[in-house]
Amino acid sequence: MPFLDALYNTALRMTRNAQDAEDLVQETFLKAYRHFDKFEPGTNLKAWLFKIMKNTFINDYRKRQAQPPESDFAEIEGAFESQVSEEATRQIRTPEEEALADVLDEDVQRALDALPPDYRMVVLLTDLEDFSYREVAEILDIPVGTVMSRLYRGRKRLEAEMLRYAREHGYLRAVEAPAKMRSRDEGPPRPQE
Amino acid sequence: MHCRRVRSAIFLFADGQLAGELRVAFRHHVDTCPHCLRELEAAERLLALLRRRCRREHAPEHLRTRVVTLLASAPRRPMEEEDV
Repeated sequence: MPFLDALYNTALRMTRNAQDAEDLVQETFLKAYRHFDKFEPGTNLKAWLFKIMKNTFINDYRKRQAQPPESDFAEIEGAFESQVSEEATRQIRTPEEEALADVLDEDVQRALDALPPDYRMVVLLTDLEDFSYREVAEILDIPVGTVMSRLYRGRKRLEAEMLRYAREHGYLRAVEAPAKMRSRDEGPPRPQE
Repeated sequence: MHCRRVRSAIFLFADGQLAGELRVAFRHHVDTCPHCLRELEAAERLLALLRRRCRREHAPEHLRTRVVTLLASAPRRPMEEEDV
């Protein structure tokens, strides 16, 4: 059964419920089977299946689950680059952030589950399923620019969230002293113009 | 290419979505700007972390059986040479 694991893995993160995930995957395969004549040979079968699953989820499951309405990201679309660059140049990296490598697997999981659905989907499809930006845009029916902005914000949120968990666990204490020493030695990074 | 533009394109570069002259200009900038290089390294670490540490759930065996059974008994076979 092609891509069953990949579909199930994503379905589980979309529905957050094993039974719903199984139903969603089953429905996806059934629709794919019934409409296989619409599949264009030579195109990406995996992307086609994911698109069917996304549509099925939106049409059948999201309504039923009575989740809070999707965030409207229209206001950030189109203004992507200026907003991102404002944010990016303000950032100051610290050894704390570099210590993210020590976060626990379940922290990564929790952080991913805590993302708004729209952000979570682009991160899942790009980072776990290795789809290109263009394929993600096609699967989700959104412009490539929107994929980029959601991906940027989603990943930044993930990073911040994982860092928060790391602080909660307390295993970042070990890097506090070097962090202070380093910031005194180097001073804040100054972007060059 | 200045810092501001480079930083807005860091994930594009890390994802291999930046091509041609833009990629060359980006690379040239990070080779000469330690602050942007640090940002790029942090982004690459984050992506590696996500890819490495995200748990992948395998579909349960009963789902595989369920799907196979369902398709085998589907009322209509749209592709006559489906197995080919």
